[in-house]
Amino acid sequence: MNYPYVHRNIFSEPETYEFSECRDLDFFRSWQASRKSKLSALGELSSIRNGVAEAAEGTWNSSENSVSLTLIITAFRDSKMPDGLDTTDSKAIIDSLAQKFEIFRRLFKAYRPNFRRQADVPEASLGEYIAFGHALADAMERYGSPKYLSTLLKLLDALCYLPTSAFTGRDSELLADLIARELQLVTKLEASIEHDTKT
Amino acid sequence: MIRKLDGIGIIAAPTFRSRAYLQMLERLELRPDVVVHLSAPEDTWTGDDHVELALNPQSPPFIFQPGRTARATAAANDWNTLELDGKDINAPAAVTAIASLRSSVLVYSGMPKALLRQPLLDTGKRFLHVHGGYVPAYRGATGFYYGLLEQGKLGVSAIWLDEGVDTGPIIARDWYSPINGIDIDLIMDPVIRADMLGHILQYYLDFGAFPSTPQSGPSENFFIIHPVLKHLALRRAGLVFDSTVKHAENQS
Repeated sequence: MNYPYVHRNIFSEPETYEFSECRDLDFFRSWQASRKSKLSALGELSSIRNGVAEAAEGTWNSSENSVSLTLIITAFRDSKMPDGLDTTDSKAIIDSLAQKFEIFRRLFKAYRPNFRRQADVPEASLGEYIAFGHALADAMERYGSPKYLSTLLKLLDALCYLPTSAFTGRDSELLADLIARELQLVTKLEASIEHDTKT
Repeated sequence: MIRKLDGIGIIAAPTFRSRAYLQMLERLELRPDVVVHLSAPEDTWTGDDHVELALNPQSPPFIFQPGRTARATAAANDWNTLELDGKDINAPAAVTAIASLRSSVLVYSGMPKALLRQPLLDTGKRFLHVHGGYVPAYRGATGFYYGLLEQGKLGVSAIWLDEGVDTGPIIARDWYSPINGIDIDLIMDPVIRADMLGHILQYYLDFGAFPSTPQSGPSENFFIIHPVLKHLALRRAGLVFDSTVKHAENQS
C-alpha cells in the first residue's frame, strides 16, 4: 500500500482528512515506510551538500505592530514569552499557530500582537514551517495532548511531498530531525496503546 | 403510546446523524413539533439495510437503517415538516423561517462544521446539540476519536449551543464502548448521539425540564484527527485488521 497523503501539494490544495480509511495495519506501515524513505533521501542530500555554504534565510523584523513568526516560535520553544504579543500564555501561542495552520494550511512571517494576520506579510518559509513543526513536537511532549501530534502529522505530509531539492542543507537536517521526532512520538503512543490493551 | 414533544422541533440535514435521530424518535414513539429539512444531496449508503447495535444491556438492540433518509422517516410517521431552500442554516431566509416556528427548542442536526451565527442565536430559540466528544476535554471536530485514542471509549455530550465551539451548558454526557465490526464514522457515531438524544428527551417528558450545567474543568479544542492517530484510536478499540495476513493466507 502507498501512503496516500504525500502525493500532492497540501499547502496549495488542502487535504481535509475527513472520513479517512485507515483501519488496515498496512496503512500504518505505509506511513512509516513513507517517512523512513524521506529520511533516507534527506540523508543522501545532506551528504552531497556537506561543506557547501548556503545563504542564510531572511526573517521578518519585528516591529511595533508585528511580531515575527521566528521570534514567536523560538520564544515558545525556550518556554519564554516573546515581546510584543497580547497574550502571556505559552499554550495559547502554540494553540493559535496550530489553529491557523489547521484552518488555513499556511502561516505567515509575522503577526499582529493580537495574532491577526498583517496585510502584505509573506508566507512563512520552509525553514519556518520546520521550526513550527519542532514547536508542535515540543508541545506534544510538554502538554501531552495528541492534537499537537495530529497537526504535526499533517504538516509533515505537506513538507514530505516537496522534493528534497526544495530545502536548504540546514533545513533538510532540521526536517530529518523533525521526521525522526514524529516517528518517535507516534511509536511511543503506539507502545502505550499496546500496553493498555494488554493489561 | 406516542408522546408529543411539545415545543421541540428538529433541524435535519440529509446526513447519517439525522437519519439516526429520527429513527430513534420513531423507535421511542416520540413526535416532534416539526422536522425542518435542509436541502443538500443525501449521504450515500451501500452497506446492509439494517445494522443492529446493542448499546446497553438493559434495552433491546437498536436497529438502524443507514440507507433510510430522514425525510422518509418523517413522512412514514406523518410528522409536520418544513423544507428550507439550501443548506445554510444561517441564511437570512432560514433564520426568518426558524424564528417563526412555534418550537422553543430545536434539536440541531445540521450540515457538518456549520456553526450557528448570532442572528440565529438571537431568535430566542434554544438549540440542542449532541456533540461527538466528552466536553470540555474533547471539544471540536472528531473529539470522539481523540477520546477513543486516550480513553478507549467514545464520548458524547448533549449541550446547548452558544457562539463558541462546543462551549455551551451541558445537558448530559456519557461514554460508550465501541462495538466490533460497526463503522464508527457512519454508524456508531450517529447512533450513540441518537441514543443520548433519546434519553434526554425522555427525561424532559418525565420531569418537565432539561438539566443544564455550565462547563468547567480543563478544556481542549480539537481539529480533524490525522488518519495515523485515527488508526491508533481504532487499534486501541480492537477495530483494525491486517490485509497482508489475509493476503498471505490466500496465497498459501
